[in-house]
Amino acid sequence: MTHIAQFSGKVRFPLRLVLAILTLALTAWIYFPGLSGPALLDDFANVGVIPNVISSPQEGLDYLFGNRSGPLGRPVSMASFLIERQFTDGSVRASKFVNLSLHLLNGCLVYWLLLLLFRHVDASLTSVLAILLSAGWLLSPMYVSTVLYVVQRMAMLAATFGLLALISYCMWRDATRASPVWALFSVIFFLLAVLSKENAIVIVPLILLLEALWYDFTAVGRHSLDKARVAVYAMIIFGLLTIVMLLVLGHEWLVNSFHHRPFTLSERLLTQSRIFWDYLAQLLLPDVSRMGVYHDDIVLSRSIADPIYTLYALVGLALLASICLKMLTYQYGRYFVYAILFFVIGHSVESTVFPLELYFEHRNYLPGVGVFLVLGVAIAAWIKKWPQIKSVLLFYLGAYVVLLAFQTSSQVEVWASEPLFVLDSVKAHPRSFRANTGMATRMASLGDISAARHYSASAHSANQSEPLNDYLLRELALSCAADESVPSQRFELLEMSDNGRFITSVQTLHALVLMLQDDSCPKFDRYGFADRMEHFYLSKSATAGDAPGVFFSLAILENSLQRYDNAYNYIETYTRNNPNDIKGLMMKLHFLVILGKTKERDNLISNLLEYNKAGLLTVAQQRTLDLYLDM
Amino acid sequence: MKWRAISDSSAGKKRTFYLCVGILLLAGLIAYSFSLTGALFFDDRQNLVNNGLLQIDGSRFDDWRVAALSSGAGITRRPVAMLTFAINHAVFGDISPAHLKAVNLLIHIAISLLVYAFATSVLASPALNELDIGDRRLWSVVAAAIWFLHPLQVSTVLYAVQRMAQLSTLFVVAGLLVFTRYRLRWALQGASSGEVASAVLWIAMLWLLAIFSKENGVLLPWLIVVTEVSLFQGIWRKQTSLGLLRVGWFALFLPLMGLGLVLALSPDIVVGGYSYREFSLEERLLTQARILWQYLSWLLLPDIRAMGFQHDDVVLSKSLLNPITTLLAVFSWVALLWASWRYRHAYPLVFFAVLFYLVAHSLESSMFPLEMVYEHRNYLPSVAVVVFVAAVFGLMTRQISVLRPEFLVIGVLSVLAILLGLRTYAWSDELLRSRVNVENHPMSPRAHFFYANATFQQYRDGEKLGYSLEEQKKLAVRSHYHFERMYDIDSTSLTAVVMLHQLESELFSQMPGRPDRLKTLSDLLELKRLQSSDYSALGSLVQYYSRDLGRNGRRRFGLMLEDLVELFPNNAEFLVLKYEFYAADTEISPIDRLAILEQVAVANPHRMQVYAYMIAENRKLGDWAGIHKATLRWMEADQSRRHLRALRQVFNR
Repeated sequence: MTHIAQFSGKVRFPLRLVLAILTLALTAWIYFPGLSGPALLDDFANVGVIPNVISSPQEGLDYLFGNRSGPLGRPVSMASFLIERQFTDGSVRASKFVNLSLHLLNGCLVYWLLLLLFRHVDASLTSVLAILLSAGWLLSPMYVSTVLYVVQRMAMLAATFGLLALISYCMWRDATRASPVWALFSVIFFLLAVLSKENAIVIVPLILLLEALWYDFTAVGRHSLDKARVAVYAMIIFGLLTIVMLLVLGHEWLVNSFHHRPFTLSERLLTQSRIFWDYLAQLLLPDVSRMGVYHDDIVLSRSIADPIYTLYALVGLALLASICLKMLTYQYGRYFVYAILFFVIGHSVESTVFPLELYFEHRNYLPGVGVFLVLGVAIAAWIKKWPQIKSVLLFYLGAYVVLLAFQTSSQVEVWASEPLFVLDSVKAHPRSFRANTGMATRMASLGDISAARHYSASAHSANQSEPLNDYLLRELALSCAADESVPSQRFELLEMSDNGRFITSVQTLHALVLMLQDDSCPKFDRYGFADRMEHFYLSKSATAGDAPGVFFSLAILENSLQRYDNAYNYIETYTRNNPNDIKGLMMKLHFLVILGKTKERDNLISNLLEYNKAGLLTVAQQRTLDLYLDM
Repeated sequence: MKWRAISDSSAGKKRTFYLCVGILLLAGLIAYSFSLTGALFFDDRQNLVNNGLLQIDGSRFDDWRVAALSSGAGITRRPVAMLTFAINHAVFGDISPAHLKAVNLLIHIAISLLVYAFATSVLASPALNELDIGDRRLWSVVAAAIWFLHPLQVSTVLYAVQRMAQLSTLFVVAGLLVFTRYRLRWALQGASSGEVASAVLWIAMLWLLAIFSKENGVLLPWLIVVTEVSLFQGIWRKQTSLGLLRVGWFALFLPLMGLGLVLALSPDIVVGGYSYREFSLEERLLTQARILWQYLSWLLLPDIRAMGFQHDDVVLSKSLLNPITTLLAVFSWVALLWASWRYRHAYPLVFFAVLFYLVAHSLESSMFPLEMVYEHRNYLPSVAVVVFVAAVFGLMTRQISVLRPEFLVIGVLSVLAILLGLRTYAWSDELLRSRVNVENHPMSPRAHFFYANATFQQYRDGEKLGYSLEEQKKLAVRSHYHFERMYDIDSTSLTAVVMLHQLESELFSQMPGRPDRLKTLSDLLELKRLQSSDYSALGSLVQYYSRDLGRNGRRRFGLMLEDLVELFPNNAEFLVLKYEFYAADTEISPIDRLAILEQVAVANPHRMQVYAYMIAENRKLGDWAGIHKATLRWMEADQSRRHLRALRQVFNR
């Protein structure tokens, strides 16, 4: 026993290095099969369209600054995709490989951060504890949906630079002579983090609280930093006041911003209280059978007692808050509170008042560090009380990491195969609208229309708010995908709803139109369908006031049927609602040319030239415009 | 001083003595080494040979997880033991008997070392430190040597799958060692709460490892309590702590109270399992009283003629007086327990050995509806017995002046080594092992089955093995004879009937007065409550008829299966047999076969094999949507994701 007890106390450098390398190798080994997995959802829009920056630098710039996922455009993330495109074959596998490499790098950064933090707590603890905790973070199954979902590079990069900002701050604080270089690095990394993904803004409060709770305004020479104390508290108070003020002043805007969501602000906040505990449970005691990319089946909290778990979750949060308040009076308590706050603040952007979707596993990528920090603080506190249990506790932690690794490996295997991924999604979330529509699409593409209808109906029943026409439209799309004969009588089922909306699912319509455009389903009466659409959208009695995207898709349909008048009318409606949409204007130009409407054509060309001067046209659009100018 | 104890003797004599013990141990090791090639059999097949999930090359991490969960044995699936089997396969690239048993032998050596260390701690315990046995280290070596060389351990070490029992024992003994080492210190100096916490955490880790090797590992805390109550007696910092003593006694009875509570509140957990056995709970308990004495006699006076792999010839105790030895056995256990408790202060080692032996047997040799006798169940309980025997030897050599320790020890170990050599030799070859079993247990149906089966395999491979036609004929006749003997002893044995039917159809079709085995089979199926071995027998008949669709009797057997399915429409096993029977039949369409499989999936959605069959049938139809649907159902049934590798391959083709 004594030999083992000596083992972890003073672990020599080579052993630490071996342990660290083994951890990284194990993670790479586990994730490696997942690289052959498919591209998913948002990958197609963001990653499937990466231009070659060497052959067309302008297109590269368009790509770099053209992302609209967040208010800042996430240029650092987009740059990573561009760079990757130059040095790899541009395959999904290559993108996932980059993600995996980044995950390994992040694991090293988590280790570095924990090392710096625990060095401040107890120098004898640092090495093995930090390695095992960062191994736990690296091998958490919760991150499979981040690492193997290419577009989540954004969240990963934000974490990379966020961690670097925190590490730089720690280095600055630990330096015997205050050097501004580390402080400057901290700022630079913070900016890069925010430009990777906006939620990295949480790094600011994390650094402030790090100073207040972990370092406790104590400098290397143990003297107190009183000025820093005032400054940090002032900034924390200022930040809190600003948030409160913004919430009060922007309350109405916030409430209204939920209009396109099936939940309200208060419902989101109540639901997030439950999700908070679920995230925590999934990080500490993962249940991979519930994991996946679709969590749209989560039950909404309509009130404090509906479902009753909301009340339990809120009581739990209140208890946690009071425990944290009590803990603030103890040294290790403050560490514990910081670790908890790391998790809470890490979630403060995506899991609070903004009208985002309710649940995504990748939102835990950076906040999860806090959970492992909680574990670390708890272990450190126990070891401080009972130094004899140090080695055995580390063995337990190692065993826990192995169990996490096994969970992760099974999840990776599911993500390594596209069919298994689709099937597992519907198995894990049988009430998920998205999982069921995904399965319906797959079954239709395999020619089993009855199974496709079954899943489509399940999707419809899972989403009670889905308009009937959207459901019927999906049935039509599925019939087309299964190459089933679709007579015009089926279009008669599509009826105008009371609220003046005809079709709300632009995505389904667009998918159907693309299939019809390619004539993928010859047994589908394309003209009958187009006529039915015309009846609702272009006839004299037409009253449908649907989203502009609907008109754009229908213009594509009519174009493929060479019914240019109708196509023109649709795009006219579209551009009326989106007067500055270059894509729509270019299509309008196309129809004007075909219909020989010279005057309107010239006007439009001059408008487009103006837009071009303003730098609003992409390279591809400029080239297309040039073709029309030459005509 | 006479040289009654080696400790008193000169260093040279001591060295010679240890050298002799070393040579004997080496002889035992060599005996084991020459027997490692004996074939895998019985549970080895299901858990190792036919376990595709286990047979990994180790290049994919998840395969290790799947391999760890690949056993259906026990409630934990015994992942620690299965991982070691997976390592065997990954390292050596096969599931060969020699490689598996070599690792078992290494584990046996490792446990022997632990037994030595544990024995040293036991003999140094407060209750025994006054015991006049001379050199405690020497008698600990003797205890470990007896344990290592004991011929009863052969059926654990050379039965590959019993690595599960070995590993469980390894971790339990390690846990006991950790406890006794800490406890010896605490008895003298006391301990801080940190040290106690550290000990508890170490022991808990070993406990978990033991349980996940085999469920018997759950007994570790109870055995610790036995050690505490009998050997440490609540002594803390050289004083008797009444609180600790009381806690110890309470903890000793706690598991019994727990079991009583389970029986009172939910007896079905225990009693329910007896519906598949040919004996009742009462019969098992009564019989075990005799068997526990039988085990003990094997340990103390190893009669290798009575030992064997199968002991299904054991006479059931129907009541206390039938047979009368039951009453004697029960009475003597009660008397021994009472006496060892009554005189626990005078004879603490007896108290310890009796309690340890009974507690270590309490899981497999008590109320749970397991089979009656297995030698490997003594692997852990024998640890206390050998420590006891070694200590008694020590006492004897101190008390009886003419009894010289070196002669006693080397004599006993030599006898054990010879017996071990004989027994391992018998286990080195499948035919030999099964023949010896039959000779030692002529009334055991299974012994006859194994011998008949081994002989039949020899007949099958006759040409390859260079047998003349005459010799091959003899083998076939011998095989038939032993299957007949099996049937004579147990006329309800489906296995015997099925094997006789196959043998007679193939080799003795012209035999005058040949019995209608299919009729016998049909009658048995109407009467008997089937066990897993019966389904396996039917499965072998299904395979027999599937290999050649033109065989006589196929139609009759097919109708028999149809009748069974009609009679028991919810019996998934019969449905699977029906499907397998028709799987190669081109007259039955894949759609009809899928309908049978659908019935299986409804009857038992957790029968994973059915989904693999569904996928295969859909593949024949070229129905990819059907493949997807079957895969989804498989994933839903496979909650622990054990079949991910197979699922992956569905779409990789």
